[in-house]
Amino acid sequence: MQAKVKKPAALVMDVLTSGTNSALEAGQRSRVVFLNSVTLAGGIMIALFAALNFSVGNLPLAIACASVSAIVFANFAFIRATRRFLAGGAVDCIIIFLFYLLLAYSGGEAGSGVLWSMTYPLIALFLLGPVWGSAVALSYGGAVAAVIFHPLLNKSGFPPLYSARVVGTYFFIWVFALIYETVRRATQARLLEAKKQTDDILAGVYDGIFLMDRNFRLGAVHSKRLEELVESTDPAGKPLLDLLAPALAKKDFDAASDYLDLFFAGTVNEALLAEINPLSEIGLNFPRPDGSSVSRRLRFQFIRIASAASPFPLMGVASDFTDEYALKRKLEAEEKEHKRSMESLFQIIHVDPAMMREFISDTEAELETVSDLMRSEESSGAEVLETLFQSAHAIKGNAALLGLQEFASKVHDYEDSVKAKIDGGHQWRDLLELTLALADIKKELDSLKFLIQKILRFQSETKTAGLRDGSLLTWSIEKIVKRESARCGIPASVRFEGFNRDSVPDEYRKLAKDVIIQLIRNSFAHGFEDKRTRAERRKDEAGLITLSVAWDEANVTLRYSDDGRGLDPELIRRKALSLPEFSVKAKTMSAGELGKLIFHPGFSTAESAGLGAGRGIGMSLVKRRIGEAGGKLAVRSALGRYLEFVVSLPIPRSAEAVS
Amino acid sequence: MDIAHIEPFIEATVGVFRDMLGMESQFLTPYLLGADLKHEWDISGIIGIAGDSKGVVVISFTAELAAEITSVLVGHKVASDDPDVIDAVGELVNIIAGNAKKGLEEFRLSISLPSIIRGSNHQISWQSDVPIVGIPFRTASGKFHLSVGLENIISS
Repeated sequence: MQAKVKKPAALVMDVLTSGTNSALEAGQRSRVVFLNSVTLAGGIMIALFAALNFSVGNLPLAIACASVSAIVFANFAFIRATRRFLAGGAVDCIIIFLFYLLLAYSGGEAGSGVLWSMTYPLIALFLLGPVWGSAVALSYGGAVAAVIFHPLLNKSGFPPLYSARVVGTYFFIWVFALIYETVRRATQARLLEAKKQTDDILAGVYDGIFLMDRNFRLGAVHSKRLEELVESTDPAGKPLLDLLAPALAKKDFDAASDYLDLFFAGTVNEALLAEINPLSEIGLNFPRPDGSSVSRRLRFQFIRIASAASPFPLMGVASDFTDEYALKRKLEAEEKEHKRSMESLFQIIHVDPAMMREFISDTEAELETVSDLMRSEESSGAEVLETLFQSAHAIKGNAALLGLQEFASKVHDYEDSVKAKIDGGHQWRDLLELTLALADIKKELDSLKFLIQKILRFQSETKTAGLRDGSLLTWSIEKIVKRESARCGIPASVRFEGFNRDSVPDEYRKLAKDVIIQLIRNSFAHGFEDKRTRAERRKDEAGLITLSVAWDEANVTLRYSDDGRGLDPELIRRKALSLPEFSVKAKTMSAGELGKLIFHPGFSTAESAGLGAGRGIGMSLVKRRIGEAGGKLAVRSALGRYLEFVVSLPIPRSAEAVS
Repeated sequence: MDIAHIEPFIEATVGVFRDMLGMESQFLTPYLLGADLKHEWDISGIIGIAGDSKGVVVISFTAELAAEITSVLVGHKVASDDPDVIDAVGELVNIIAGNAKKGLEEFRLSISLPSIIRGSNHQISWQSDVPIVGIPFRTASGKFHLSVGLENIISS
């Protein structure tokens, strides 16, 4: 229906605009429509006039009219073909000039033919502009004046005073037409200039600027940049939220939809509206037709237009801050990194540098060992994972005891991910991921090392550091006990028997330390009772750890004991029953057999895993390390009284030679 | 080090070995590479990386595998000291770098044209403050090795 109506209308428009349709700006277009209308109407009128004269047999006039009509139609064709509207207008003006003059001369009904002349200044000025239009209009005025004043030409016999009034009226019409046309042209030019500036601004501005109607549909005028920001080549007439919907999370979409409605609720003030804007900083993910997507972070700002009657009462401004956001994130990450390294630094300066250096060289050795195993083609993935897990555990324990919480928790996370791969099965990619994470730990260690070296250099310059008497090992064990005691809130002390500088051979220094650290952790996690229980059992409030070392012909024997609650076979049995692996066997196990379970990988009586205990890995690590060194491990315990570990290691060759 | 920056190189390498040379690569366990570690490689292609991450990716081959690769590419048997070997490996690494580029498009990373180093047991001096990860592979014709040392400039 609509199409049928539209088609003839479009055809008429096409004819009247010489096929330019809406390509010309409004002022020029109205001129062209007028030109074509005048030309067509004139041509048809004169053709009818010719036909009338033919029918009454006035042949000369009929032929004259027919040829003029032909000229007018030719002019129409000329305008359409060349679009030289001024030339076409000039031709029309000349024909009308002659035609009107003929009407004025011939007089017509009571000399009324002269009345047509009054439209001439309007036609001439409109078609030819103020200068040429005035020239033509004044020439015509002169010609008409000559006709109606000259006694010989004045067919209608107007009295001179009548003729003077005709000429006066004509002159006034010309003056007003001239003023009107001049003002119109100036206004038009100003409007065009203003529009051009607006267009330039909208094309060049780096923000998306647009207006919205009461249904939040975008107006036709918007900045070019908006199209890029919302990934739409033609956003005009579409609701803003429809444009954003594919890129917006559902939650944000709903919030934005509710928010926009507030603008026309009338009760909420501007400042509050700006504050609660859910689109003030929003992440958008625009899908592209090729299946990829583009992420953008946009800021939207909405401003109510002051004049309430405006058809587009809301203005929106969208700006892109994707790069700014990335930069901010980067700065935050750097800030965090910086803070972390400051924290590490503070943690480190509380630790003795010599212990620290020992920790670093031990950890480096640990990483080296793991890496060697990984490199070896004989080792299976499962074996690598198991070693990674144990090494991470050992490193974590050492770090936690030195108070390097940052580093320890990083390794703890690593341990978690290794555990997840052990439990959940692994693929080659998982191994790569773990290796990369190991590289990160290595990097962290390197930066710790860098800090330590700085501190050591500083200390050697200020000469505050000196070598301590006695063994570094006993000293660091004391420190570790103190630290763990503070961490768990259990007072404790350590007593050494038979320890001196050479009592632990160098070959076993790291092993002894690793083992003792795990045992100390075990004492605090499982051994020492709370204050009340200790009092009931008539024990000293502070827990006591006793460490002794003794040599015989073949072995170095290290004894470690604590005066805690000892091994509780029933507690172990209960735990074992809950594990599928032991659920059947545990029912009939003897106390001795149950005691051995604590060395089983993955077995722990603690409720949950933390930095201190609960992985069930520490004791199995102890056993494994001792086994690897060719040593033996025994446990003795009395429930409620003590727990003792006896580690015997073969005397290494180098020490044999010395002794 | 971001695994997403490294995977494209692995995929490109394995893909090129499979599609161009008809060699299936078997993944071996990756490990940390000590900066001073001795290794047995005879020819290496080095690809530099800059942008969100910076560092290098090195693809190393034994002389036997390099000769085998060249033989496949030129269509006749060549010895490991043949001058064509260095061109063939250079071309291969170039293609790997080109393919890896596709997988890196989403990051702000640019990669250099590869350069080739030859010499038995040559040493590569790495930037000392970046840990290096070694990723070994085995094919029927011998082993090759990716070494990756990348430093995150922008942590994601």
